[in-house]
Amino acid sequence: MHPFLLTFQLASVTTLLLLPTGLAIAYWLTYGRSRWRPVVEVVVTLPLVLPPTVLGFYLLLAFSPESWFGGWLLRTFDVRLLFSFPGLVIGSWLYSLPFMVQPLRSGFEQLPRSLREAAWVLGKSPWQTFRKVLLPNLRPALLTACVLTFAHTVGEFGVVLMIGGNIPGVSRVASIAIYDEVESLNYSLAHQYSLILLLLSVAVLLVVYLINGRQKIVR
Amino acid sequence: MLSFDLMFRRDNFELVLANNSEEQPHNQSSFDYQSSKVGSLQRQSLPVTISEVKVTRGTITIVTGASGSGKTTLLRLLAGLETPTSGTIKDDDQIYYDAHTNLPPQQRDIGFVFQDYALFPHLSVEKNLRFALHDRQPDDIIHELLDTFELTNLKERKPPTLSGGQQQRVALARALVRQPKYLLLDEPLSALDSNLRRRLSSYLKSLVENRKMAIIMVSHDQEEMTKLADRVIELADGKVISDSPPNSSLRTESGTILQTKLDQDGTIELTIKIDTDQSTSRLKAGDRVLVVSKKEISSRN
Repeated sequence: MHPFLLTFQLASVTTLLLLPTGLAIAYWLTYGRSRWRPVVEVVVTLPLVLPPTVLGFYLLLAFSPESWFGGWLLRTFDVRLLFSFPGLVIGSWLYSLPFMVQPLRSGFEQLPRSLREAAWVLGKSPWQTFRKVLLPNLRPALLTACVLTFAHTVGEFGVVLMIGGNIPGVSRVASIAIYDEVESLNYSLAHQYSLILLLLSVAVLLVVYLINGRQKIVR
Repeated sequence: MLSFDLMFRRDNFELVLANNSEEQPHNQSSFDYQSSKVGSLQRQSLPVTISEVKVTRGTITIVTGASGSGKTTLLRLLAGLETPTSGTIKDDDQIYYDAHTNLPPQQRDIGFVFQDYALFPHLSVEKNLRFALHDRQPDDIIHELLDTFELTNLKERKPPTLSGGQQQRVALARALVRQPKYLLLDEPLSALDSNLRRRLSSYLKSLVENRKMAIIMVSHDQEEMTKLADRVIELADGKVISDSPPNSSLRTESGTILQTKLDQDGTIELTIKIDTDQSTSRLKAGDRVLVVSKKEISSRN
């Protein structure tokens, strides 16, 4: 598979998986009162601070068939995560977690508290309140979170290199392909790939800001 | 009848500015970092203690008091949006809150109008009202309420495009869709012009009389108190400082009027609760003062 197709596949799957999980985590972080909150906050923020190679290194250790986790996966489900697409998805899920959770969380925080309470007093369950009141009013934050997650996954490099390697069609995503072409002094192809990524990133961000900007004016 | 006996404490941290201006004369040229303490965080508790209040259906009770006296907190506690530290809340025999039970807001027969209206911005006026319908509740009430609150022309509009007064009407109408036994209103009529205010006041009054609803509302408006209320509860620092019918000029000091009964021969029977740390309560009626001691409770006037 072409590196770009693979990149978009990885970014789409990661975003789709991160959306429900990110929503749940952001909701819990905003409204929950558990004393474990700081711990989860650290886990969610860590990928922002940590060098991707560090994250990739630990995932490499965990996924390896010699490790407890990797061995268990292999024995029980016959699943090998190292140098595979599902392994990349798990790595990307973790790596892009803050980009999904943070915008959603600030989206939740910006909604007036009374909106949720009004729905409760009108007899709606927390789930109905989430679905019918919070989610529709979270639309700008949802868009921002999804686009940032997608774009961030497209730009992923260190984690993929560590746990995916450079296998064409499996783990050779666009960013790795660029690196690879530069290594083999194939600058013209590296140029092509880079330009496509650059233009794409600009276009995506432009769409987000245009849509969110228009919504602000309507309000 | 809604009866409650509540204690609620929330700790807030407040920055108290240090008063060290005297230690630092203006002409001091060198800035002494050591003595420039700005202030300190101090724990401020805002306890709300309400003892033995009973609200009967078919009445309008106005809760008044300075800002920060606990009016909104009281309404939030009753609706289940805030959990008391201790106490009980009962609707006749159904327990809303006690040491073992804490019914969520969904299960209390209470409507609430928020001070910021809390309208759903993504839904039209009509859909805001429809949102409140029970699963199998017929929707005639929606049209009736849209009509009563003069919202029929606005029913397709989204709340952010409405004026304050219009939003307030939508909020009030929405709270009435489920026809709750008790309706709690946090300054409900403040944004309305006097004409509409008068009409909605009489509508509320008729609701209370015809549907045997009880309304508890926060208000500062003297006219509302005298014209609308059957009873005015005044709070200060989270405590009831007076509880009396609005027209009476009866005021107590260091005590609370719990019940007032007017007989046909003009006798007023008062039940007064004297604060525990006091032995007497002073009852004022106009310029007359009656000192009531704990032994002698009933008095004729």
